[in-house]
Amino acid sequence: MPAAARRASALVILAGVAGPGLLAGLSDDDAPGITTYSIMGARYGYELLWVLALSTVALIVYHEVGARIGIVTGQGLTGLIRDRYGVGSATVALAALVAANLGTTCGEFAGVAAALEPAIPRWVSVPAAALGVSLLVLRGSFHRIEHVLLALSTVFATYLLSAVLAHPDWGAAAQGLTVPSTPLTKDAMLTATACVGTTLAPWGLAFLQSYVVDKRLTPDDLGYERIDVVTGAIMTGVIGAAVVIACAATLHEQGRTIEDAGDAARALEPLAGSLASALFSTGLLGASLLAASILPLSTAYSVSEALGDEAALDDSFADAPVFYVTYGLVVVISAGVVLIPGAPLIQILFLSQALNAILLLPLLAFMARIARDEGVMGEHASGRVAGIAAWATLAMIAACVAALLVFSVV
Amino acid sequence: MATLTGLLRTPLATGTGARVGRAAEVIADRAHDPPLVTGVEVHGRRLRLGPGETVGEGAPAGDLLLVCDVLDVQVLDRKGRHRGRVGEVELRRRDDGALEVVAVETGLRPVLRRLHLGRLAARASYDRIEWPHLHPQVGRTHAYRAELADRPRRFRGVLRARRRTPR
Repeated sequence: MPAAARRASALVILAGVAGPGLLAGLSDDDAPGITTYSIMGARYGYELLWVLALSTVALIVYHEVGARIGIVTGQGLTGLIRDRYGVGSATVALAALVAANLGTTCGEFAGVAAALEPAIPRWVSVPAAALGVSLLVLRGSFHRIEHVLLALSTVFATYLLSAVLAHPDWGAAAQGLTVPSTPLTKDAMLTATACVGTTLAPWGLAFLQSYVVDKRLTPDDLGYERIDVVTGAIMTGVIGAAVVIACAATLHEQGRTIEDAGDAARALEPLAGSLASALFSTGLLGASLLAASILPLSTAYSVSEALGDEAALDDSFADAPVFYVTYGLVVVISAGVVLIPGAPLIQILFLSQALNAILLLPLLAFMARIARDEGVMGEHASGRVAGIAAWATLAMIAACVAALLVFSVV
Repeated sequence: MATLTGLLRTPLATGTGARVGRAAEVIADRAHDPPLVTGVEVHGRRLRLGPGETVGEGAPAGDLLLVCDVLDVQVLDRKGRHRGRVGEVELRRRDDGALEVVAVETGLRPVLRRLHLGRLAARASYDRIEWPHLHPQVGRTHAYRAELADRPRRFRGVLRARRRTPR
């Protein structure tokens, strides 16, 4: 085959395989993620950008591991935990995942409300978003869903524009990205840990592994899936950095503080112009809708796998009742909580991110062990370099959580 | 009808009545059709299993590890579609007191029963697949392929069945 034809053929295969890594990565830039990055930029300027860079490396390492395990074993994360460690361990992991996912989905619907208020009240926007994402995911065909969700993720480009319009100090940003330094305070440790936890979220790992299984990718697709994963993770990191830079160049310079991403969008207007503010709000809406589509799906995959009722998106309700009932319950409960007057949304959002960070450590340890196990992974088991990278990443995250605990006690 | 998880919960003793603990693994001899339970693994030691759940020293025959190789392993149909995960292994006691593997259960009911949620389990559905219809999946980790022409027979919980019974 001529070189040009080979290249064209490879691109066609890549287009068919791509999706899980991009969606799992980009949906980590969700409403709680944008909130965390906004707070990081507003409070610490460019100083903690290196934490985001390391988090992006961690995202590449573990999304590659998750995709590889899913492709080789044909099993999702909670299903594999049940296979290797039994029903009890799977139930404990599942309970924590469901609790964290419910809290994070509340954060997504709160993001929809924050992006559209005061123009559209939340009692209109939240039910409409819940209905819209449910119809999109449950009634659309498998490939249409993937393409619509990927199209939805293009709104993230708005954050890049917001960063440019904010006229940042690029030299300071480059220094923050490459030279590690941090204030030794509890709040800085909390922000750094939240950055790691929101960039590499457990539900993203669970979703990615389930999705490559649902998509029936084979070990022959592994090379293409790695391109998908690395591209998705780098885009996630770049978009996160753009949010930090936009807030650092405006809010931090002016000494203004914010509570959530909605505040950041509104606060950008007098500082960076109405266009930057509108773009930030648009990005927040798109991020919230994308993650609000994926989170209930990830939860439904996890529940049905752990209970042994594995399902795919093209299964009917009669064939996969656990899958569809779980999806519906997550959407209804999360949207319902956001509509409760005076509900402590920020606390729910941050508690769920804290739970995410705690859950991350055992899940990553489990994944690193499985990936090294030649009995499970065969010729696709992690080699020495990949093994060291996985455990070093785990050690870095454990150090972040430990530092937070130390500074919380002292 | 005995079950694998029931056997795992049973305190085992020697012929003289000395307790040895609970089994972590149950070993079956694949050479028999259906596989015959020949031994258990207790605290890392492999022991021969006799009638009435008494154990004796000596290596048991067989290479089928019912906990590691069968329990919680996914089941695929002939087209490679998921048919659930093995939640329970049914064992039948022969006239000589030995146990043999006869079927597996998939679905929600065995999971809820193992989590000690008996009332919910009674309402849940499950599928029963006869052992001869299951074959280890070649080339894919930890899966069994069910040689079934259509969906396995689905059993409903007692309470649901009662509700469905016409008056």
